[in-house]
Amino acid sequence: MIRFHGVTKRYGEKTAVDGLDMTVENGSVCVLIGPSGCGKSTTLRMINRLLEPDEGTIEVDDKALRDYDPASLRLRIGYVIQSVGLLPHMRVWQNIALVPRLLGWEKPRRRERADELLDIVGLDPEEYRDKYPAQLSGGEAQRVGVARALAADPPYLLMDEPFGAVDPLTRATLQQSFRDIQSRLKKTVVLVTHDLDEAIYLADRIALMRDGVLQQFGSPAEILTSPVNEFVREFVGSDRMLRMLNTVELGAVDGWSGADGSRPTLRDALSQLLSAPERSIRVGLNDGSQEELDFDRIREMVLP
Amino acid sequence: MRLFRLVVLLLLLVVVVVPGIYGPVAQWAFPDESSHVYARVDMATLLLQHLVLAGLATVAATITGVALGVLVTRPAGQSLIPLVRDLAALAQTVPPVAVLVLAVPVLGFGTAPTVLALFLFSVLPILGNTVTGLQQVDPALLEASTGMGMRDWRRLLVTELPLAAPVILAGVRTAAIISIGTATIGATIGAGGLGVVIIAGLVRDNMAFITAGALASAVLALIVDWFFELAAGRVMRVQRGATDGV
Repeated sequence: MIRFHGVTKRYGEKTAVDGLDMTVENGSVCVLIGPSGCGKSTTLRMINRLLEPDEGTIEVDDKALRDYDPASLRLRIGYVIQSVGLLPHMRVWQNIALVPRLLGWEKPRRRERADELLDIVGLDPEEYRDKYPAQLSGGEAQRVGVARALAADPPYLLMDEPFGAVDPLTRATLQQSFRDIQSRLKKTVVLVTHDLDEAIYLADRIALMRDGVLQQFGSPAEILTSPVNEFVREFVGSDRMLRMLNTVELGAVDGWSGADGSRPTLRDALSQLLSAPERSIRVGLNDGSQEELDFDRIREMVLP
Repeated sequence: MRLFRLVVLLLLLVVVVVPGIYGPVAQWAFPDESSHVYARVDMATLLLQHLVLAGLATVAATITGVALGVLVTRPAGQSLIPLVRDLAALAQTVPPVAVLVLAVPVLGFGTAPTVLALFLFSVLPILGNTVTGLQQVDPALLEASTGMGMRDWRRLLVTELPLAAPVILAGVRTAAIISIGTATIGATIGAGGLGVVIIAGLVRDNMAFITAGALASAVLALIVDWFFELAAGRVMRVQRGATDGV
């Protein structure tokens, strides 16, 4: 659990984060979002003490951050940054095994762990373990970056625009992989993005910030359906109900085919339905069951 | 091809150093000279002295230069960087001979002042390159390293020094080659080395001696440079991603 109590961070005259109170529950994904300069990255970087707050306290596991030794704290908090930050002079497996190395694991165990993680993030260990970062595509590098953050099985994961530097198609695949990984590993994740669709798709809770002030903190559905003020309403946009469609994932939709390994959402189902001759179409749900989907059913699924 | 170059250089060195071979060669090349092989000290000894002079200076300069470079790039030393840069630039404009000449009144004659002079001249390019190399490490990699839980010293060893290595190595290479060249002048202040033959040749107006000394030190410099090139290639290969921005 990560708790913010009245956390304020200033850069000279400018207040980057202003009196932030927020709790990130264990096993949940909290997405920090807002316009540039809203303080979302600053907030993230205070959690692993790359920045120190000027006022207030942050607690991790009910213990104030200032009572942790920064380096040992960071070993328990996986960190993924936008530019990935793989060390170019080390092979993929060595990059992944960096934190285990800092923890003093023996080399055979580190190698084994690197292979496990390559598997988890969907890269073939045989093919990738001995490559250098320069030999990877942007999407592969991002996957290795996530693998590295997960290497020592930290309970916490901080991600600073982890999928920001790749093309939209790759981003969608990475987001989906991340959601799959998270549903298995149940890490406590804080993720920064400026992409609302990404936030809606990945978040259990969204923290929407502006000028250092938390505007609204709630589930994607709450943010989309009951914005607390004009800023939030504008930020989510007039098409906010359409965005809600993306939060519901389906197993299959008749007549739909997407990129390799991607799964349809309710939005794809609606699109199919609009072009279907009948008033309903067949979809497969995530649990494997089938269902007739019509417009009323879509409304029910979007507004639980 | 690269190995072939080394073989040729080594053969040349053998020709110059072994009296039995150099004698006839020099006799053929300089028929007018009265003697062709420097007899007072044998060439192999001078070569070794030369290598020790330059080697000691370079090793000491590398340790000092890298250590100072690391210190001034730490947060506490940042304010010294402009000064270090100016000093490094200044030293590059002073000819090494001048450094040697200036060292004599202060340190007297012999091996020690020569090594010291070579050291002083070598330390600044290494220091300058160390600072440059460390400063050009991508800040995102530093943040990633710290964020992963590396302590400062670990980050230095795992991330910063390996990534700065090619630039640092280039500085050491420059320093080593200049030291080998400059060490010949050490003979004028009694430090031994290949300069001894050159000075003897100049005094006696003997081209065979001058050629032996000059050729031997030039070939020595080229051989050392060959090894640095090998090392640089190796470091660069390990670094192949560094320029890719990944």
